[in-house]
Amino acid sequence: MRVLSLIGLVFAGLLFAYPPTATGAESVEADLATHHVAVKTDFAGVKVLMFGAVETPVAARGQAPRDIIIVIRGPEEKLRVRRKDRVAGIWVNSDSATFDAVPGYYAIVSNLPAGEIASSYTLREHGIGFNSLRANLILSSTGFSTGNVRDYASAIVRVLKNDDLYQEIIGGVGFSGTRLFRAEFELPANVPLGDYSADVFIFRAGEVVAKHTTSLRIEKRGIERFIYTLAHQQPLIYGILSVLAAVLAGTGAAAAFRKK
Amino acid sequence: MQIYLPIAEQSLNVFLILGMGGAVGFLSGMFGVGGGFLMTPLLIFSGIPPAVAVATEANQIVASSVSGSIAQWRRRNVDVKMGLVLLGGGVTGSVIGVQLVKILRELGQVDLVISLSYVLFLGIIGSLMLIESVRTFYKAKQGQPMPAKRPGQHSWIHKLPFKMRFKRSKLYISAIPPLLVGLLVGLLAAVMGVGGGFIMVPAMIYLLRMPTSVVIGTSLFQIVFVTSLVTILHSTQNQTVDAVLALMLMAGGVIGAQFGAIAGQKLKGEQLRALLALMVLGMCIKIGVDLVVEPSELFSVSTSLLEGH
Repeated sequence: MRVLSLIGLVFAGLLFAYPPTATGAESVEADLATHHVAVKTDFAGVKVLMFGAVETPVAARGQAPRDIIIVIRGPEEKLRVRRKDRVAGIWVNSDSATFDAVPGYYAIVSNLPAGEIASSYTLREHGIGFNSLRANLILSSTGFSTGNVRDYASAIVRVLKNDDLYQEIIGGVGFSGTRLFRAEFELPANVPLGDYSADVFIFRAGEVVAKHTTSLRIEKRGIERFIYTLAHQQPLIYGILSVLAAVLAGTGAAAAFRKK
Repeated sequence: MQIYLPIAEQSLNVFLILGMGGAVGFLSGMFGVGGGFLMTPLLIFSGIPPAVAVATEANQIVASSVSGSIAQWRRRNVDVKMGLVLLGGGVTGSVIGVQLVKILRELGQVDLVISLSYVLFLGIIGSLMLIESVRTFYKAKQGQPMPAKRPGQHSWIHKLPFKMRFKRSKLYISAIPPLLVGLLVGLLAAVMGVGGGFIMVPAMIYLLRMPTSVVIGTSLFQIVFVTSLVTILHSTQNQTVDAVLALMLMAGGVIGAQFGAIAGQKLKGEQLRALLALMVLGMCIKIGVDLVVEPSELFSVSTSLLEGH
């Protein structure tokens, strides 16, 4: 597990670039330590750092404390959810449902539990948190034979949480000084590839006062990318090469151990 | 140390993969079996999707059967004509099997069918082997002579048409039984990720009544081609062959097999067969129990394979 960092430098830059102003709305600037995650042979998941600065007008200082919620979403995929039932004594996939737009990764990082920061209505309005995610999943579902759509949507959240693809990191945002904050989230080894978005919400008294969005791309690189691309775009050549490699390995082994 | 597997899309510990390859290679060297029926379930237990495990294991078996059949070829233990007839059936069976896997994946039942096939075949083969070795053990203890199994006894097989002469096997039999045996083995190779030696060898000895000297070589000869075909078909139809995983399993397997062969020479045939039978039955029970026990999570999710990932 590597930690990508360039923090000190960027912190200094943020301080310099965004001096506090006397008037105007509250605003937030944030960035990720990296915008590209390369999935290579040694990829075993990675921690990504996010850092930023909140700019508070002088007038607003000393008021209600501010809170930060960061939501990182992975690419949306069509997902099939299957439920097992006991048939003749064994557990068999029986009913299934399709959800058209399921984020393959969803992490919510906040300084306090989201429920203590804002009302569930406000959270849902901004698409923050697993309740809001579940509600959106239910809207994108099709093909229910039997069973309850809620059970299936909850199952998606539960299964993906179990795979570390959905995470809730309470207390994962740290403040340094009055303006700077940093947060860390983890992309596990089984993370889906594609385009990610990270939304930073600044709350004051339960309302969103500022928002900033940044993006992240995860893709296969090097030999991993070559193999994957070949397997999907030239499957016949890939298959023949796999067989040839095996034949070579086999003849090589036969030759090597014959000499002994 | 973790390695990312590009087709399985997850990372596994390098030493775990090499260790599994080595351990199964050791056992296959010791018992003279392919080891696919042990490796595929092990891969599934360690979290590899069953469809990827089956296809990748077929690729690994190509390597182990090539090295095995070269050794057999040098000893002139391959009946090429019989091998080609078996292969005819094997090609048909594997084409059907790969299509079957594709359809089952779309239906979400591939895991179930793989597990059920394992329980069925491992159960039958393991029990037969265990009964046979226990019986031989007691007979040997009582000092009775073994009932000799004579090839050339007449049975219903000899009444079938399309007779062919197999010189090296010293047989004149219908092509239908070997074609059917080949078909079944091809089907199993595609669905279970096994070479099928554990079905083919007994079938050749007891059903086709081939001389034991050519049985192993001929079955390995057929397995090379059937698993090669299965690898290519799974690559084109299902994109489930993980070359990185296969190469690492080959590396572990080749080394393990050499040590296994040395260890195997120190054990008696009957002990070996009983040990192998116990292992086969153990695997059968483990897979069977997993089917029956209520899973902790009833729901499973998968990205829709109909859309091609």
